[in-house]
Order: sequence, then C-alpha cells, then structure tokens
Amino acid sequence: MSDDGDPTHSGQPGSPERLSADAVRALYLLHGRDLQLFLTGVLKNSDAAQDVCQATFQRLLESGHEAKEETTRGWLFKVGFNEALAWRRKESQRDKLHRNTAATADQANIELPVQSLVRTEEIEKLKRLLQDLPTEQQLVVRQRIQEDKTFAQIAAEQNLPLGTVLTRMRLAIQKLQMWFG
Amino acid sequence: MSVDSNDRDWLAMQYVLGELSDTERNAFEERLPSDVDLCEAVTAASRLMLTAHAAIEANSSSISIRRDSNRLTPGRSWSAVVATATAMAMALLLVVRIPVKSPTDGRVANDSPQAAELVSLWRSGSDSSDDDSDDVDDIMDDAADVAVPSWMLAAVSIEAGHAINAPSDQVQEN
Repeated sequence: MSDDGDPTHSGQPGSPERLSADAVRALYLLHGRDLQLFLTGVLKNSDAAQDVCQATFQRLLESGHEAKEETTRGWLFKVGFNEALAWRRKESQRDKLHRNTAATADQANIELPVQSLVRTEEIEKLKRLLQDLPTEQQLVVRQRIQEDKTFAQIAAEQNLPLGTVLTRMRLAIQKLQMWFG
Repeated sequence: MSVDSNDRDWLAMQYVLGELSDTERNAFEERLPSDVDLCEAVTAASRLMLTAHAAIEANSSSISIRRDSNRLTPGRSWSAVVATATAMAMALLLVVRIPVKSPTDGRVANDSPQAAELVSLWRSGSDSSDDDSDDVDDIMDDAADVAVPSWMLAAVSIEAGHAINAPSDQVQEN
C-alpha cells in the first residue's frame, strides 16, 4: 500500500492526540458521501468504494490527527485514492478485496453508517433537467448511461461521426453539471 | 496537463465512464493524489452519472408503468361496467320481488305511519338530488322509486310486518 500523503509518515514531532471516534464520525458525515462518490468513480464499483471508504476513515482515526484541519478533505481524497489502488492490486491478484478491507474496517473499531450515494430529490431534479436537453443529446446520454454503450457504438448506430457523439455528450454533461450544481 | 475547468470536468467524466485509453488513464491517475480539484471533478462526475442513471431508470419505470396501466385500462373499464350492470340488475330484482316495499305503494304508508314518514323523507331527499343529474334522470326515471337503500327496505319491512301482525285494537288506537 502506498503511503503517499499519509500524515503518519510526516515525521513531525509533538503531533496532537489522535482524533476521537466522534470526531471521525463527524468528518464521515461531512465528507463520507463525497469520498465514496470519488472512489466509485475510481473503482467503478460502489461496493468496493464503500469498503475502501471505511478503510480510509479507519486511517483517519489512526493517523488523521496529523493532517491539518483545512486539508482534511484533500487528505481523505489522497489516502482514499491510495487505498483504492491497493484494492485494485489485491483485486487483480486474487480477488481478496472484500476480506482484506472488511478485516481492516473491523480493526478500526468504529462503526460508520452507510450513506446513500444517490438522493431522491437529486434524482427528481435530474429527471427534469434531462427532459430539458435537446433530443439528440438526451439520446446520447441515455444510450451511454442506461444502455452502457460506448461512444463508438453510439456513433455507429446513429451513423454519426464519433466527434459529433462526443460533442453532444460533452454539451449535455456541461449543461447538467451547471444546472445540477 | 493544463486544462480549464470545463476540460477538467469533461476529462473526469470520461475517466468515470471508462472512456480513456490506458495511457490517458494512467496520466490522469498520476495527477489525482496531488490535485484536489481533479478529485472534486471525479466526485462531481461520479455523482452526476449515478444520479442520471437512477433518473433515467426511474423514467423508464414510470413509462413502462404508464404503458401497463394503459393496457389495463380497458379491463378496468369493463370491470366497472360489469359491476354497475350487476348492481342495477340486483336493484331491479329487489323491486320485482318485493313490490310491497316500493314507496309508491301507499299500502306501506297506510300500514305504518312511521314507515310512511321514512319513505316520505327519502322521497323528498331523492327529489332534490335528482335535480343535480338530468342525464341520470332520463335513464333512471322508472328506477327513481326503486333506488331505495336496503336499510330503508328493511326498516319498512319490519314496520309493515309489525302493523300486519299487530292486534286490531292497537291499530285502532293509532
């Protein structure tokens, strides 16, 4: 496991006391969902992202006190990403992820609630926003996200240049991200 | 890699969608540990994709439910028609089989003043409500006297039974 960015290894003397379990839970409520979303984007696997997220907060409990408060979020992204890479390596070796991360989470001696990555009100909002997109952009978004087709497949099916499909998707994403906030 | 926020967001989206080549992905991931903004872009892209997927799925579900309900509509209509027809047939059957309970039949009123009053009250109520629905009047003209609630039929029947079975002196007292 890479320890890049891990404040445990900063070697600073006289570091403050470890974070309390309550403090870690509070930080989890503040950053946990975003970290899990980030890890889902990295791993393309929400279950694994949840496990890695738990492992990351265990690291926070163990050594997060050495990170500056204003950089806690960045620290979580960094350590979480390193944990995700470790997960990938283990996964590629012998698919041991779940057992390893579960054991790690157990050692953390802290129970964190599972957070929903998708919220009902956001789904409702996005449903409306999707309908406001031009039809051709809606079609590309639907085929890419729902039907899980590659852009190349979509281009071939619609008899369009790949660049046109990518542009439609990009414009749609830009609008959605701007509207979605 | 120097990119503005739009390029960064689009790159993050392509990364989340798995559209980057191995080389591009490796280059992208090398930046992640030291670029919080890029991590935030991945987080936003992931959130948008997951929510959009759920939204599209929800839309598809509601469309299929709507289609299902449309398919079921004729069936439901037929059920309603059948239920209404059955109710009307049973009401007519009641009238045919229990003519003594018809409020137009003065015999009931003569037999029992309380029953007559009850029937009278019902009739006046029916008359006023009939004004509200002309279409129904056309269809139900003959049935207006028929549409007496079962609780009233039972009450009238009991009253009539008492009157018939009562000793003559009691009738005379009334």
